[in-house]
Amino acid sequence: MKKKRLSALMLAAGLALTACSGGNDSAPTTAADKAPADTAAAGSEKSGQGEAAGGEAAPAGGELVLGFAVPLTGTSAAGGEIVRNGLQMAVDEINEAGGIDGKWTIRLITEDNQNDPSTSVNVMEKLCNQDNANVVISSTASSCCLADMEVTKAAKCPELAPASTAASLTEQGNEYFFRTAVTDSSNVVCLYDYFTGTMKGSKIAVLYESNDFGNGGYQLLQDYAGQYNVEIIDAQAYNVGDVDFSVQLTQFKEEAPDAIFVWGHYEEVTIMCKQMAQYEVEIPVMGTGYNSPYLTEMGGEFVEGIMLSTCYTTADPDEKVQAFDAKYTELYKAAYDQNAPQAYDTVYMIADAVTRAQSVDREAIQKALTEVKDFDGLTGVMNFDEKNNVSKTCKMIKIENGQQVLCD
Amino acid sequence: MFIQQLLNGLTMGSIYALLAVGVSMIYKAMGMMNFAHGDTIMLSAFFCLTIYSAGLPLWAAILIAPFISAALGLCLERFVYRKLEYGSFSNLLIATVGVSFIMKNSAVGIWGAQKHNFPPLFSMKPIHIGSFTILPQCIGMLAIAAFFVGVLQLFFYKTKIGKCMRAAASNAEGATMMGINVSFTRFLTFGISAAFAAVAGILMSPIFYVSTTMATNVATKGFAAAILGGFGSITGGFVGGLILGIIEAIGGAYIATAYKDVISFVVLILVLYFCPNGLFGKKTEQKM
Repeated sequence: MKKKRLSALMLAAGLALTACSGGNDSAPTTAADKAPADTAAAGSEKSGQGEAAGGEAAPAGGELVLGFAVPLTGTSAAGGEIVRNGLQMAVDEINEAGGIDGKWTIRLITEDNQNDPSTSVNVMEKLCNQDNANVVISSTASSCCLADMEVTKAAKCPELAPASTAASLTEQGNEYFFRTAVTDSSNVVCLYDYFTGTMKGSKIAVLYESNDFGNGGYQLLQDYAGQYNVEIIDAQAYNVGDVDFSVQLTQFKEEAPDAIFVWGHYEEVTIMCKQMAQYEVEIPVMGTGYNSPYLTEMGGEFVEGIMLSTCYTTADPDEKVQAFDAKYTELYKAAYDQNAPQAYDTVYMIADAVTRAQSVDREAIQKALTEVKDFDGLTGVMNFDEKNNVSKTCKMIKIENGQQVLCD
Repeated sequence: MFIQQLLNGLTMGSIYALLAVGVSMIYKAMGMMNFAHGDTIMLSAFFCLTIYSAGLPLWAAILIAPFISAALGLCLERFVYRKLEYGSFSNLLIATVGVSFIMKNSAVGIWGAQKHNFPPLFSMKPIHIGSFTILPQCIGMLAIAAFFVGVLQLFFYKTKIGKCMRAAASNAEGATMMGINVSFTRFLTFGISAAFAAVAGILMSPIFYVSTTMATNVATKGFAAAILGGFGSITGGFVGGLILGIIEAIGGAYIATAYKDVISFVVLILVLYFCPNGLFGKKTEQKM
C-alpha cells in the first residue's frame, strides 16, 4: 500500500516537472530569436556568397577587416541568416561605392558560432588573433556574447552586437562592447511617451510573459512609471503556450485601466485579442514583442487597433527604409525581422566611426564609436549611453485594416 | 468575481476532461498508458483543417476527420502495439512515446512548424447571466464532452462488446478462455479512442490554433486530470478535468496567474496523498 502511494506521488511529481518545464521551453529566447522559421530556407540560397563578395577587395588606401560571428547552423540558424543578409547588404553597398570614405574597402570574414558559447569563444579567438579583425560583429544569443566579449576585451578589439538584448551584456564594464540592438528601455520610453502624451492616459495594467523577456519588460515599466506619472494598477504574468487569458482579462475588465501593456509574442497576443472580443473587454492594447507578419495573419479582425512599439517598420514612409525593404525583398525573397536592418545600421555605424577617426586602428574605432552622436539609421536615431548601450527613437505603430500604420 | 473565475475555469476544464477521458479509456480497456494521445489529437486537428482547406464544408470536415483518426488508431494498434505483446507495460509505454515523436515530427514535415487558424465552431457572442459572462464555446464543449462521456459509459457497461473490452482488460487470458476475441477488442478500443481524440482536437482547434505543439502542454494536464479522477474511471476523468480547470482559474486569480500550473499540480499531489487512487478510482491491487 505504502509503495503504491509513493509511486503515485512520484508520478504526479514527474508530471508536475514536465508541465513546468514545458512552459519554459522558450524562456531564454528574445524577440530577436523568434524569427519566422521559413525565412531560413529562402535566405540560405544566398549563403556562401559572403566571403566572395567581401574578399575581392583591391585596397586603394587599405582595408578594414570586419569579423562576423553568427549562427549559421543549429536551431538559431534562421535568425542568424537574417542578420547575415542585412549585414552583407551594407558591406556590398559600401564596397561598391568605393569603400569607407573612398579609402578602406571592407573585407568580411564570417564564422559560424552555432549559437554555442564555447564555440563562439573559439571563433572570436580566430577572428581577433589570427585574422586580425579591426572590428567584430557578434550576432548571437546573449549568452554567446557574454562569453566571447572576454576575448575581444583582451584583444582590445571593438565588438558590436546588433541582435543581443540581455541587459547584463552592458553591465560588465567592458568598454569595447557596444550593443546596437534596440533595448526594451527604448520601447518603454516610446510607449509611455505616446500613452501619456497622445492618449493622455495614466493607469495601466500589465500582461507579460513569465520569462526573462517579459519580466525584464515589466521591471522597466515599473522603473519608468514614476517619471511619466503612470500608475500600474495590476500586473499579471502568463506562460508561453497559454491559450486561456480569461482570468486576467476579466480582472482587467473590472479594474478598467486606460490601456493594457503587453510584453509578449504574437502566438499568445492574437489569442488574447480574440478573447478580449469574446469577453467584451474594450481597453486599448499596446506593448512590444509581437511585431510579426503572423500577427495580422493569425489575429485577423481581432488585432485591429492594437498598438506596438518597434525600432523598424516598413510602414515608415522614410526613403531609406523603403529602399532597404525593396532591396532586401528583391535579393533574398524572404521575410525578415528588425535584426536585418539593425545589422545593416551597425555596419554603417562602423563606417561612420572609421570616417571620423580616419583610421582602422582598433583603439581609434573604439574611441570614435563612443562619440557617435545622433546617428540616423533605418532603426531610428541612435546614441550610446555611458555603458555603450544604444538608445534608439522607436516608433508607435498600430494595425489598421490588417496593415501596419504609423500612429500619429 | 469568484463565480466568474469558476466559469472561466470551465473552458480549460472541459478540454482537460476530454483528454483525461481519452487516456483513461485506453487504460481501462488495455491497461496501458498512451503517451501518443496528445499527438493523435494534434493530427486529427490537422486532418480536419486539411479537408476544410481543400474546399469541403466545415461540417463535412468535422464528420470525416474522426474516421481518418480512427483508421490511424487501428493501424497503430495492428502494426505497432500488437507486435509488442501487451504483457509488458514498460515496453508499451516507451512505444507510445516513440509513436508520439514520430507523429509530431511527421506533422512538422507535412504541415510545417507554423500555427494555423481554424474557423470558430460556436458563436463569439458572450452570454450574460446577471453580471457574469460565459462563452458559448465553453457551454458547447462542456455539453459535447458530457455527451461523449455518457455514450462511452453506456458503451462500456451496457453493450456486449463494451463488456468484452473490460473483461479483456482485466484478465486477457480469462477473457480468451471465455471466447472473447481479445486482440479484436483491443483493436477496436484504439479506433474508438482515436476517434475520441479527433473530437477533442476539433473542439480545441479554434482556441489553440492548429499547430504541431497544440496538445503538448495540455496532454500533461490531461494525464493529471485522469490521475486526479482516478485512472481508468471515465466519469472520474471527466470530473477530474473540470476540477483541474477550475483550480487553475481560481488559483490564478487569487494567487498568481504565472503559478497556475504549479498550483494545480500541488493540489494533485495533495489529493493523491490522501486518496492514492484518485477521487473516483477503485482500489485495485497491482500485481507486479
